[in-house]
Amino acid sequence: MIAYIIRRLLLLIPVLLIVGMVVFTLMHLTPGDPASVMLGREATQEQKDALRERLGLDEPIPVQFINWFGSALRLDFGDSLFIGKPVTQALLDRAEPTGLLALYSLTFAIVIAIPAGVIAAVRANSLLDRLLMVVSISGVAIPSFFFGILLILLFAVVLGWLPSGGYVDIGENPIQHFKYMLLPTLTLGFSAAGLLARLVRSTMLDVLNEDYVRTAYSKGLEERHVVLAHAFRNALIPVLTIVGVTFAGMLGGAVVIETVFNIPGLGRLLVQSVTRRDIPVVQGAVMTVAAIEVLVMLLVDLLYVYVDPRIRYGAD
Amino acid sequence: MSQRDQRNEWGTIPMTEQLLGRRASRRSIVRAGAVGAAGFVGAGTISRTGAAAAISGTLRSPKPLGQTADEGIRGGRLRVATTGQPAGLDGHLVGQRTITLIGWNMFEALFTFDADYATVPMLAEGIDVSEDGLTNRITLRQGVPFHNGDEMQAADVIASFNRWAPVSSLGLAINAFLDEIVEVDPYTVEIKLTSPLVALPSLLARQQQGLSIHPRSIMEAAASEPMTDEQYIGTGPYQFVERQADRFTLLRRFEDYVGVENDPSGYAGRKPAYLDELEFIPVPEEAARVAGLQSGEYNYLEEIIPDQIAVLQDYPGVTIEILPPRSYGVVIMNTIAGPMSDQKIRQAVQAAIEVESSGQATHGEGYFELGPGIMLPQTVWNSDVSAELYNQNNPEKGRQLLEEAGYDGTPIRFLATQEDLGDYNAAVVAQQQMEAAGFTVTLEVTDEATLDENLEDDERWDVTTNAIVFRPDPVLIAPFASCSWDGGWCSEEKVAAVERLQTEPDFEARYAALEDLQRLWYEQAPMVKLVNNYGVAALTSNVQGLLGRMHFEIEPEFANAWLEEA
Repeated sequence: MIAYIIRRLLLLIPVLLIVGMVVFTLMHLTPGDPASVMLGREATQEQKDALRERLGLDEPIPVQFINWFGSALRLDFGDSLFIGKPVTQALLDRAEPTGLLALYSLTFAIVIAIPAGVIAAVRANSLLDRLLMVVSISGVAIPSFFFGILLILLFAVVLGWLPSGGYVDIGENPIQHFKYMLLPTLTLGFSAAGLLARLVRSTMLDVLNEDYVRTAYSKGLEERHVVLAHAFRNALIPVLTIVGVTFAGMLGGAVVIETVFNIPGLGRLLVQSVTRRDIPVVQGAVMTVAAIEVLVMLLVDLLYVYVDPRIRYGAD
Repeated sequence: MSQRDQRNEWGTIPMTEQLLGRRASRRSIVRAGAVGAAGFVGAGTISRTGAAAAISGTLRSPKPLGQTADEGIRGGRLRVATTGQPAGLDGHLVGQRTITLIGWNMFEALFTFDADYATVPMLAEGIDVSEDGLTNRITLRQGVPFHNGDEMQAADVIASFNRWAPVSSLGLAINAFLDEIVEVDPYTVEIKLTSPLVALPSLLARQQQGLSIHPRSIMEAAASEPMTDEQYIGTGPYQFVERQADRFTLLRRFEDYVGVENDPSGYAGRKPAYLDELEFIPVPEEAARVAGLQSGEYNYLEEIIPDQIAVLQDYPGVTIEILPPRSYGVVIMNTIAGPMSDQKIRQAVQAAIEVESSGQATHGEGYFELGPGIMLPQTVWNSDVSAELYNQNNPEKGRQLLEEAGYDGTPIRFLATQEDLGDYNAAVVAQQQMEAAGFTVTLEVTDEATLDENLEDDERWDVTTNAIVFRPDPVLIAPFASCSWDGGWCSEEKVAAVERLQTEPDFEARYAALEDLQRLWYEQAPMVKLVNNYGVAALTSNVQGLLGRMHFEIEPEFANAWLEEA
């Protein structure tokens, strides 16, 4: 198992190298000069040249890549051209809002979706099943920016109960923090819950038709025990995969939600940095997101072992 | 070396070119406050009308600017939703609208603009100009403290000037005339010029990328690098507290502020700083800004698009006010290379354009007005010369001109970006109108950074859209003063007209020069003027002391604003 984990972690190096090269190349092929964006085109050529020199943008591209990648290996992505602080610091500043939003949303999605999916499967084709599936399809079908704006209009504008957007650090004021995070959590969580509930229902239906479930029922076990102890555990693997992918996606930045609710997170930083041509931040952020994806998927793979004892890694 | 590069060689270009001799950025033009050059009040060279003419309509009309302020309520925090994160707050180096909005609450300039857009002293006490116009002696107010406790003196002004002049277009404009700047005594600075510069006080006034005054120690420490958070020290009524990128910029009242005692008037006069704190929050998403205003999360929006105005118009607790025009749209043609370098083809575009559709598409009914003047109507410079060539709506004439020019159907590359919806919609409308006159037009839509880069290369574009923002004096409107702005409009007649505008001391002579310039605009058709775009202020109704008292064209200041109980 340890060897497997080490192997997977070592895989990070080629993945990040490829991602880094692709992002670096794309950013340098994309038209748009960071110096012009920063200074405005009103700036003189001399001003722009001086800024390019100060930022190291006047070096040949291969030299820039070698310098950048050498530093990146030491987790030094350079300084943001726009924010004026190290990229690592800029990413760390955005990690808390994005990480907590992902955590809250995923928790909300799991708490809502798994019971809903299980109940819908157990009561398949009933009115309750149809109702739950209509709600879950809505979660998938309604664009999150639209749902978010509806929630803002209702809870912030009409009722005035919650703020319309922004972010307060949890350490600064926990109550305010949760007030600010409630609507984004509902929006992101509802969207994730829709997909998850449908998946849970579908896999549970498959499992509930298995022979061993019928056997369990015929042994006289209670339905609750059969469903939770026998069926649900076996339905967990695909659910776990989707939970992992969803969580990695959320950590990579829920761009739309962060934009609608004005949360200074990783996704918004990435999008704004592309617009600003803040090349070091884009490169650093994309590599961070790639690393998060790899690590979360590794975690999911490891969790399989605990969910399904038949799975063994590194036994070859 | 390309034509444009040659033009950018300062030593080889005419004086008018040197005044603002570079291409103004799309962003800076669209987002710019005024680059003011109204005549200095003390010099008495320009007569004026009120700057804030009310626009009739269903919305509340502004009161005349410059009323004596009521006694405001002290306390509270005003939250301003900005359109994005500014690139620092160093207004010497970077010209951005949001920096202008935030910065002038903290910093002050030697001069500023009053209610009539006349240039009046702020940190300066006055200016004496010698008979020959070459020696400008500026006396400073005494006992004005910086936020770090030091007193503002001549050495600080000179250090600020020396840092600012080489990096800002206004400073470079002065540098083209500058012999030397010297300290006469701790409260007197002398600027010696090589030739008279009528607009000097206005060039030194409060405006986008204007000369803000900072302590000498900070200017020397920052040098050509952007100022850091610790270095945002000025003399203004608010001082810098904290800034977190993409989250907020917080300013707090400077308790030791020493201002002037005149009644508030435009950007000039007393600044009581009723509010304890000003918080500027970047909210790039338009709908989020609007919802935030409705919920009371924000008190003032830096910008609102017309589509959203209807949402807010009758909303309780929100005030929407239509302001005098802050810009007008233009279709810009590349006069240097490609088909548009043919004047007849440009005139064909001018003939084909009908501007009302453009106004409807970009701003919506009630938020624009028609007018041929290349200077906005709230200035004394507005003129109807060549009005018959404005808004022609004559595709047949366009077709005929194209035929005479021998246009062979070469596709016209029309650059546009959806990052500025107003410009984009104007481009779409203009494209259709051009096609109706027989043009073949390809709309090339990119992001703004790409569009900016494409515009730098004359071989990569033919037409684009932009807006020219309010400025009180034509001399400092870059497309007029410069041959290097987008499209590269340049001709001997144009240069001569601008030189007269720049050097004639008499207003009537300058106005005649402006009318000549406007005639040339319509005759040579480097651009097609669209509609005047009204400014719109969106704020919560408990914000007082702002509407009717403050200019918005170069962004408002909040030193006279207060919050009433909601």
